[in-house]
Amino acid sequence: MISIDDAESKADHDARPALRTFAVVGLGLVLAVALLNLIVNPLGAYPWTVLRPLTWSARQTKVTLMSQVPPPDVLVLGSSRSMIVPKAEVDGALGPRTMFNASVDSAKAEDMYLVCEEGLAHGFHPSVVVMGVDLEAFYDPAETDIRTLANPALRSHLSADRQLAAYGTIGGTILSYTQIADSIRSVKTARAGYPKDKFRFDDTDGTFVWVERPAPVVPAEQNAGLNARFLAYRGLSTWRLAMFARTLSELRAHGARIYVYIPPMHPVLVEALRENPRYIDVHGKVVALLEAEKAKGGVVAFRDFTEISSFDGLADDFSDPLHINEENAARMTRTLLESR
Amino acid sequence: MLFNSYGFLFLFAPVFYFVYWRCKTVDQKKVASLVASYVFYGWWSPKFALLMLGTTSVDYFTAKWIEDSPTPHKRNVWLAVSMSVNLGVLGIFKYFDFFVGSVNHVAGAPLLPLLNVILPIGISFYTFESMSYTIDVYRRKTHAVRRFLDYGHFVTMFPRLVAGPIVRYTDLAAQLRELPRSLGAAAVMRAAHFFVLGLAKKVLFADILATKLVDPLFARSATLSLAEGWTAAVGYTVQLYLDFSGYSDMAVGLAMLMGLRLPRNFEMPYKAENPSDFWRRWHTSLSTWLRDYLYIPLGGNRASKLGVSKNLFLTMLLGGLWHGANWTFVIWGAYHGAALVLYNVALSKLSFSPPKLVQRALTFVFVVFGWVIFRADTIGKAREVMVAMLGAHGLGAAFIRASLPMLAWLGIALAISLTRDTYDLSPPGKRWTAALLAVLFAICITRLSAPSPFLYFQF
Repeated sequence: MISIDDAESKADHDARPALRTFAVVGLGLVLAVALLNLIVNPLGAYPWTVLRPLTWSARQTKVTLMSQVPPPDVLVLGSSRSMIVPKAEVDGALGPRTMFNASVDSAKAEDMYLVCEEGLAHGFHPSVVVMGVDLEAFYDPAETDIRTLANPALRSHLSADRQLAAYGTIGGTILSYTQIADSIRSVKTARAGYPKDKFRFDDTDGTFVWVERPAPVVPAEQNAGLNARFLAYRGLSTWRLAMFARTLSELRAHGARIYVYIPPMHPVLVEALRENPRYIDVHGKVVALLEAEKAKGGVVAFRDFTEISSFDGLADDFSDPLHINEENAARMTRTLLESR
Repeated sequence: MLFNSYGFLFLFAPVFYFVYWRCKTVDQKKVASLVASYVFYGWWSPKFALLMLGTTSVDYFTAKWIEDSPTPHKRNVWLAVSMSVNLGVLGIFKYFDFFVGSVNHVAGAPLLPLLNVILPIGISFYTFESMSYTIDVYRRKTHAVRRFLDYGHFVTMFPRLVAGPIVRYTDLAAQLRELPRSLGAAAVMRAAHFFVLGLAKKVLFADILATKLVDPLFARSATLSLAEGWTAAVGYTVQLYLDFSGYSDMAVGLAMLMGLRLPRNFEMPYKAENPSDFWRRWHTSLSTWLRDYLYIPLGGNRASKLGVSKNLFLTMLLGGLWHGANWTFVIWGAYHGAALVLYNVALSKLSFSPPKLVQRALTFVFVVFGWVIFRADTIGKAREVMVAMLGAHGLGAAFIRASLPMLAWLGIALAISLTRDTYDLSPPGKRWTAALLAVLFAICITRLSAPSPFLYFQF
């Protein structure tokens, strides 16, 4: 007859190989994933490069250019939808000026603030600021783009606690499944050969320039993704609203006249989004916010260019449903700078 | 701090368990657990950790004074003090703004000011645990704890602090007196089995269903088709179960790693054959709490038919309100209360009973409709989803075609919810099953970069 203690120790003895296997396989897999992502570094989040980063980000390019160009008279802030603000139109409306377009892709309110701070740190004292504010600039939940957090120059302008959290976020991505997929894609792309660059940024003013213009994208293809993004939009993030207010007050303190606009979308996309109650809600709130800024003199002008009729734009002059081409950009810039 | 976060898994848990098992005496272990639990809770909000310390102190002292009181009158007074403090804290933080808002709404004017306070996480859980302790001391079911360390350790134990299971002191007293000095490989393997399966329920099923199906569908409740309405409702039914039972499994696993056994909180609730059976299987630590500390004191089954019905209905109504300060929870409680009354008064007395499969299917559909009320932000939105489920806005074949992969994932999650529970599966005994569990753990780990809170945290 065996006692309970004996039975327990036999159960423990029997369980040891399984437990050892669990620990070895579990830890081994987690370490393997971490190692793969660290070495491949598909987002360019860590300070070394074995393979070219998979995801494109204008952040590093713009930060580098800002350290090289002389301080401009006109500064453009915004997302990829504001990367084309033709200098000729700016000169036409305001007289000959130097300009720098500091727009970065997927820019949220904090991106504009951090880019602005980086510019100020390089001695920028713009007399005019043109800001393209996407509705998604205030997206809640407010998770800062990993490409912003991974950029040492931009990260340095965050508060100390957010910098600390940034290291945690970057660390957390080491094990994320999306990064595993990116690492695998990165390796595959490296083996297949990198495609030629389709665009570049002008070395003198940071403006987006097509090297090889792509075929236009059908609006409906972008529609589903954008609809889903707005459905997940919980409201305007308080922190992002604060970052935006801080950007404006910082620029005003430096004597800048600020022109703000909501960038245009293709009419087909606007039509589809009108069915989305979250979009209607967010659009109304952002417009009200910017109208209020204008009313209290925080900005010189505000224009909602969501609909192309607001600046006599053409539906054919889009590179894709969210991005206007040079012709529409010229019309839009002219209308904005003539606004009061 | 969340169980499903890197901070917990790679920093808090390893440090805590290392220190815990280095402790040589039971008291050292209790101190380690107490400190770690306050860090765990204070991670969200240090000031709410102080609130918890305050209510813990009140219940510790009042329970002692109840036991030491020479007269019944004094015992009653100290019990009333304990109840007033616990219910007062719950009332202020959880219900005050709800009632004031309702009064203002009815009056059509802001008659009373709102407090706009944030709800301390897990307050409903630890308050109920504290209340059951002082009531049990009052009822002489247990002795008052004489050392604050013992009581503080019981109330704050982090594995089940913020979302249960709601543990009573009488359930754990014997275990807490004799904490084991070491943990064998079999116990660690069993703990890992519970933790990993709970984590998988949460991050591989509940979270994915929430972000890909349930939340987007509920967000546009006014325009849902038949297929979308049922997907939203069944999706949430499965999501809630896997989220909450996943948390409970993780809590059980983490407690096992401390050498403790927590009570079972779910017993395959979606296999229930009637509303009464459902409440014997769903969140059993809450339903038994409501039975012992509310239903029975109200008179329980020892009343007239009308009295029993009233007791059942009132218990469920208050149970609904326990979940949150919103009319949707009150209506959800009333919905279940009415069903229990109907079942007890009429249906259970029928001379024939349909096949079990039919009973289960009917109960499941009843529960699904209930969860729609529970999930919706407003009663109006719940009505919109239900109208869609009745086919008012067309079939929605295009949605089915476009969502086949996610619907398949929902099907797998539903099958898991209906067939096996963590308790029904044996912990890995062979190397290959342990390796499978490890692979599942590694997959879960890759999905933690943006951890989402557990649904029951909000209650």
